[in-house]
Amino acid sequence: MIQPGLSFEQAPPLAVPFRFFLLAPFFLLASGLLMLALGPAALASRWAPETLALTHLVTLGFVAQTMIGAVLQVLPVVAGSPVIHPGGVALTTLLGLNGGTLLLVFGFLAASPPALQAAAALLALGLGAVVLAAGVAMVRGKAAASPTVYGLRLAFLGLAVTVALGVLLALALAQGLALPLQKVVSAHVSWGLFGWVLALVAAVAYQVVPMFQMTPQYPQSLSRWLLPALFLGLSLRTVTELFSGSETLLHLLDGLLGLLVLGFGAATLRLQQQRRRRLRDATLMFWQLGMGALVLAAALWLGGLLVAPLAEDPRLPLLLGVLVLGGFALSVINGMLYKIVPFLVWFHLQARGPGKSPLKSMKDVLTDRMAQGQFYTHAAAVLLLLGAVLAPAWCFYPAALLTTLSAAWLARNLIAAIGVYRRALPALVAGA
Amino acid sequence: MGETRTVDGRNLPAPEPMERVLEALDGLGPEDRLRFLIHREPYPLYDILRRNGFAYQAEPADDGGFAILIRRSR
Repeated sequence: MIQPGLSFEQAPPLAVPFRFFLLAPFFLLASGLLMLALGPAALASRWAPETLALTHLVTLGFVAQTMIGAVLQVLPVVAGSPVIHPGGVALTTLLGLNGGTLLLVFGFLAASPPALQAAAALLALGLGAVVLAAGVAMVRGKAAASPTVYGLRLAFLGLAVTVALGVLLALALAQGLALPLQKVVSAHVSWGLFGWVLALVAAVAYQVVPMFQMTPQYPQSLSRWLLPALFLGLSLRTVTELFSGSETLLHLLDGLLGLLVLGFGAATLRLQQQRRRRLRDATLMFWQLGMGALVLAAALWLGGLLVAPLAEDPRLPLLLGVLVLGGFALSVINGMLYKIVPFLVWFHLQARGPGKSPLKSMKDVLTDRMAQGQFYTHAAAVLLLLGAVLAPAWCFYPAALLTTLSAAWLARNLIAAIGVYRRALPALVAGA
Repeated sequence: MGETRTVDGRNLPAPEPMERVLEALDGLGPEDRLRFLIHREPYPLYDILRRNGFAYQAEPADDGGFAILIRRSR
């Protein structure tokens, strides 16, 4: 199955995805600064308001922001149908997501019910708009069903469930609704991390890992069945946890989900070992770190299911959170940004005519040396964040500092890339 | 009759094949042709060709890839 690639005529203007990409690193920067301001309390317990504020700066401000920016770019092509009112959808999502995230973080830190309610409304509006637009495009779309198209549909379903549960939780916190909070949080987290983030990463990985890293294709048995099995497992898990309460069944389903996640991470690492070119660029390094962290998280999760003292340790969920969010999600997204952003700059300049663009190669947009420098800072930040959970006195402040530094470096690199576009464009427009 | 040049973009990571083909197109004479070998169908390239006055013809190759024949349209 051959996928249509990026199509210039169908693609939105450069500014649409770039607004999301350029805002995102500033939320990471804010998370680093918040850690410095709050001190070790920021990572003391998964239930602490400080930790919730920090987590949502990362998941909404960076992860959702970059993933939605990228999806708006490829959706017309992948779905085989244009997004209705693309400018309006992008603007609604941009305002709802950014405003909602800031209000939510404030709501957690200040324990303010009105802020939580307003955040819930804005996030429902912003993320609802993109879910609806993607849903309409995919229902109308004529794209042949491939694992990527199918995975994208499931990922948006995952996002819809995550947002609905998140809005419910924010309203419950604000108004003191009688909800089984821990169980709803568990469903919100598992749908967010696996139903949305992992599903989208896997759907995209089926295309980009072979294309950019020159690996063989994913085995068909994996690309066809991984995400349907994951969604079946997640659905059964949620129903079991909320309505039946059978501990044995829940344990089995958790085991199944852990094995699926482990399988995806291990398969990707194996493909990367088989790549036809031995050259390592920053994106590959980010993806290897990301998949390594995912495999480690899955192993730790499965270990927690088998070894009771590990499961009861309150540091386990924090370690898993650092590994899945910081180690996996941030790494693969950061790595992809180093392909997407230079590619879009290069492509939008090239599309004005062969030989007219001052850039011969995508590498002229951003050197790999700059990207690799940020990679090592990010990798050290992830290691220190794990250390901050286990030995906060030693590692917390270095972790916070490196997180801030890595975010600032990413912002600097992305701003430099857009600067290349801004400087090249006037000459091209004048010469056209 | 101009010359036919070949650019082999097979098994190069994206977007190196497109970088090479665009560089070759820059020097393409009015009668010349460019044969571009590639392991997957290059949809983004088609857009650039259409927008910039090139005609092309894509044919599946024996190795599962594609051979794209490109010339300047008159």
